[in-house]
Amino acid sequence: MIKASIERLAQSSYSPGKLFFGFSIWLILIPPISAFFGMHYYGWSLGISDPIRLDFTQSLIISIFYFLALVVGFFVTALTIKWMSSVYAPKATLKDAFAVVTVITTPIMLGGIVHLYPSIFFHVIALSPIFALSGYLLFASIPILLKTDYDRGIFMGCSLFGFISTAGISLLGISAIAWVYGIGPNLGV
Amino acid sequence: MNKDLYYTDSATVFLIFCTMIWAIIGMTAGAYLASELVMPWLNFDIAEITFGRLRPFHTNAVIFGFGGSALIATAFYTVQRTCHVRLFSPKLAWIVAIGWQIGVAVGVASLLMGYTSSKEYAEFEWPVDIAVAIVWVSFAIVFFGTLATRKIRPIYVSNWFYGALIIVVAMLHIVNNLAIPYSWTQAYPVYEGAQDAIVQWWYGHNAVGFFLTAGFLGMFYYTLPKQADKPIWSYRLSVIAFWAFIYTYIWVGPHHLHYTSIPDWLMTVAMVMSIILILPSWATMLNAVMTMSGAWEKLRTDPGMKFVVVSMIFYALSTFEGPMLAIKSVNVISHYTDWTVGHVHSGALGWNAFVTFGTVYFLVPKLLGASELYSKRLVNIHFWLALLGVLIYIVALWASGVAQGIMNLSINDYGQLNYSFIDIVVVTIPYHWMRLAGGLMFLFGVLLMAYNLYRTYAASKHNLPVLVKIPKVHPGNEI
Repeated sequence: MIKASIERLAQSSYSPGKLFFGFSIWLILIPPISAFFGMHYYGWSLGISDPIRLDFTQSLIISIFYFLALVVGFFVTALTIKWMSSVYAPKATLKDAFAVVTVITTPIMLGGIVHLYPSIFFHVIALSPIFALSGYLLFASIPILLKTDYDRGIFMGCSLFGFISTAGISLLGISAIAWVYGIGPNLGV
Repeated sequence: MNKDLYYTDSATVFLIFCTMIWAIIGMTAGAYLASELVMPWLNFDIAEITFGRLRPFHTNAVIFGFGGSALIATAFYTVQRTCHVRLFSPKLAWIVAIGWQIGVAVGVASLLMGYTSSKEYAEFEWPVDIAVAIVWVSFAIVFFGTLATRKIRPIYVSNWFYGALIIVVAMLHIVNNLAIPYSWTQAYPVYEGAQDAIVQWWYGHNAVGFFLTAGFLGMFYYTLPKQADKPIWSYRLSVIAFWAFIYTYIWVGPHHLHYTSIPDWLMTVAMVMSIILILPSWATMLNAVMTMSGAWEKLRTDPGMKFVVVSMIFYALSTFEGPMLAIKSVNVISHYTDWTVGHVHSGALGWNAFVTFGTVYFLVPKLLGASELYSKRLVNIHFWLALLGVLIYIVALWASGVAQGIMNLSINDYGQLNYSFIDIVVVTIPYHWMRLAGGLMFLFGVLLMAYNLYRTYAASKHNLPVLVKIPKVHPGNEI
């Protein structure tokens, strides 16, 4: 069923702009909005004692930056796919690259609703299967949407997985720097 | 029969057998330690298996037992093939192979008995250190002796990396372990206080750099082109990356000592050099990716290649994460938390173990004279168990580390700490269960691999060693 949906997407006509502004941008709004309400009204639960609740301004700043990071991440990933496709999928266009990012990010963005209940452990448990699904979609969608064969698709999927993991780690590092400079929980540093 | 016309691989076969034994011992100890973190009663009040003793046993068994045996095995194999000559001294190679096993076995056993110098990754006491140094110098004689007697003019890049491994690890080991003995089991280090810490982490991080990175890159640069059946994409890039790697790595050790009593400029230099280190690391990764391009179908035919491909992803990930964690503002959160442990394991399991598994799966049928492995299906199951295991492991420790980091530093309006130590321990428990699950999956994969290799051996004709004739060198490359 999933592969059939991806094939339908591959056969449909759309522009990258239509795909992004007509579909992805609305999904990208889900994690930051959920994060805002979660951080401000419920607070980050570390698993013990009172949750760390952030004030309105801090929550808003973090959510806006989160949104911008997701948008930039979306475009950078699409451009990276286009760049990688010169080796792995010569027939792929920028439109196809946008389609791949849309497919793999859809479950993650929908899963961003878990930010409404910001407990770290809950996030790990809830997001792990979602990331696994996105991982599957990554490998399933590349051969179909980028018009390449299965073996090349596996190589490209691995490379892209490396890129996305690195981007995820960067986000964690940037968050840590932000916390140290006073955006986020009150730390004694 | 003129033996000089054939490669000598018997020591390599023995060392690969030892690699698997150490993998099982070291990783079982790791899984047991992970169990103790969530079920502390598992130490049964037996001193030898308390966390403090079993932890260095695990790290030394995995790094030096598993990793060291794999490195020496592949160095012996590779240097012969890339120099078109038999090992310089097969008897000395056997002494190295057996001596290394005895040295590491005595060392880790002494750690369980409580004899330790308390220096991380250099815990062995001075008699073992001296024995290990003698074996290592013998390894150098075999390796460089083979290089010196080579029949082909160029020195292949794998040998540059193995050479760096041998020279730098000898230097690190000897300098860091300089001590004045006062009994057979204890010695005073010659360095004091902060100086001791600086030398220790100069050793510690370069052990990561030259043992766990340079050595495994030597292995990787031989295995990948052979598996892909094509030359390295850019030989020049591999050599440039080598020298950049060598020059940069040696500076980065003090990033383990951020915000301690060492000079501030030293921390900053270490941080800057750590960030620069991304360049040679990613140049290697790029070279690997481009070498693999065009060898797509090998993924179906070569069961071990998946491991090597994924090892490069984890190499890229951990060589990016490492410099990031060396940034002071990130380190203040991540240091002394599970984030660091997760980072180490993404490198040690995802990069070092994966490239070793891929290489062993590639070499064993050749060394045993078997046409192929006993079961490709088992290799696939091993691959997915290992991949899922390591992902579960590192995701759990990222989350745990971030929670620990925030809780360590979190203060109230009066500037008091919000959380006690035990609060932080309680929060980590669910993540440590996940870590245990991931570790057990990884260990189970190793057991499947050992079974698969055993059945491959059992199905072979047992006429070891398999004799492989040394091919003639192209006249243009002859010495």
